[in-house]
Amino acid sequence: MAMNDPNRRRSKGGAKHKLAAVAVIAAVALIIAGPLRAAITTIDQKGQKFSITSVVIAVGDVIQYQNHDDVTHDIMVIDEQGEATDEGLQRSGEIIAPEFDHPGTYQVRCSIHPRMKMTVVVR
Amino acid sequence: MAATLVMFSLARTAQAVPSFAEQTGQPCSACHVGAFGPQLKQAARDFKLYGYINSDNQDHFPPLAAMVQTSFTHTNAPQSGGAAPGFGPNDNFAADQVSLFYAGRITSEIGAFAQITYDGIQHNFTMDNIDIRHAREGSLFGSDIVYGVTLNNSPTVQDLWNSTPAWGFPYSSSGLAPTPAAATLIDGTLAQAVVGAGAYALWNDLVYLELDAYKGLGRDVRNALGVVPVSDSNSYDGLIPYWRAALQHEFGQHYVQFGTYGLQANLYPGGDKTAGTTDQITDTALDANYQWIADPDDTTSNVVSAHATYIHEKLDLDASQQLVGSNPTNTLSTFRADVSYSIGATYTPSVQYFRTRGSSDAAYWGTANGSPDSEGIIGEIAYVPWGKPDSSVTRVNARLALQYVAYTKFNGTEQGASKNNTIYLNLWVALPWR
Repeated sequence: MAMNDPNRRRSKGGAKHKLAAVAVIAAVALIIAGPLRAAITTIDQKGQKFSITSVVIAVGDVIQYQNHDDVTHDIMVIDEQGEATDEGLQRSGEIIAPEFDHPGTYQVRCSIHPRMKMTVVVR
Repeated sequence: MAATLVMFSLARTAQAVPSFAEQTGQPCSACHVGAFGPQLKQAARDFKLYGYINSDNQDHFPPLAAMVQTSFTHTNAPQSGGAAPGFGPNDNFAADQVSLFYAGRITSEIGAFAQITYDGIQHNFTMDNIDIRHAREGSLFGSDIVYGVTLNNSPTVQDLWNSTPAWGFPYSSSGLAPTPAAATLIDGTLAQAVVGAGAYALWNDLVYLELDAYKGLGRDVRNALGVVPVSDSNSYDGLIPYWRAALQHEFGQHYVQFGTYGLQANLYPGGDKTAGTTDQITDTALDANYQWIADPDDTTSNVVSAHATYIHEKLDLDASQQLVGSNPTNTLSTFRADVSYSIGATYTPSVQYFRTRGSSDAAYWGTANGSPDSEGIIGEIAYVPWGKPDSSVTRVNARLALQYVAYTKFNGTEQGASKNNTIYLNLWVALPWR
């Protein structure tokens, strides 16, 4: 009797729908939460130098360059082919976050201060 | 003869280049101690090392700038006949010099510092300092190396440090005051009288090496370029090799450098070749630099800066012995050491001790007792109102300096040395050309 209980059948069908709904919600949450879980690395620009000379990040991770100097910097991101992307002038106090959306090894330099150079490895 | 040469060569030219500031988008204080050239911080040494090409990627071409210097000179005793043609015996106002610079990029890989000057004391135009550079980066033994070439017209004008003669303290001095007769060849005597090329390298931000070869310019060329004096000036046989080696290290607020430099030249004294031989001059020098920056993040923070050099000259006077009856050999040594404390990149007091000693030779040095010895102290206070990140005036900079030169010995004698003591008030204005 219990097996023929229509309420029970309804109950089994509802569980499937709930499971599917949970899966969809979880997938959406993962998609939404993915970028939020990206690691953020902050690199200070002090005394016309970077605070570190190399860093390894994952695709999608974020590097924030924070200018603590009282002068302007101009960050260039140079890929393995030698192609340079100018991130523009970065005035005192400003933060810039270049995009590293492809795996590879990048040189990051200031076009004004040749002593400011570091390597970013994106995996 | 030697005295004549030195009197002119020691009227130092001085530099401040707004076109460098425009090209890099940096205030003067980012690169210069006291917010005004030519005393360099690490950023400026790097800029020169890399060939004057670093920029903020904006369009600043052509990199032209101008500079004007005016002054008042008072000496303890008046100079009979006038301090220079057209000037009185004492208390002279002068428009010392007006210069136009090409200073910055020529191409994306070649840069230049080139200066044409109207000398308001000699009343002539002259091709002044020139340094054209190209640099590259690489790797050697697993460490970074920066290497390059330079084409220039004055040994040490291409140097990165303020301990060597071309850019040493005092950064401006009177062209109307008496100066000691004797100076080593590398101590400004060759400035603008030669042209040379060389190669340099800085390995691992630690070891610097450079070799250059210079060739003396002919009288016609010097005459065309306005280099004075031409008559009775030396001419040079063959190439003049110049060497430079240094170690440097920066740690926290501190920077230190030790080095050596020198040259060897064969010269016809006064351009006279009748002796059929030359004088052989060898200069060997040591130098050292120290800087302490209170806050490296702040370009206007206080800076202690010290420089020292010792130059030893060996003179084998085969030609002069025949021509003027000099000793067969002489020696001449110069020591200088200065220290400054820049306060807020606005007020910069400085003091220098200087001394020159050598073998006595009245026929060669031209002094009364034959001694080339001179000794003294220079004190200076400089005021620079602008050239900082928050300056109200951004494109023009100025430096007002009061300087006192005190001699305890002058041209071999202590007696009357103080008659040459000099008060020098100098206003120096630098501005971009456009």
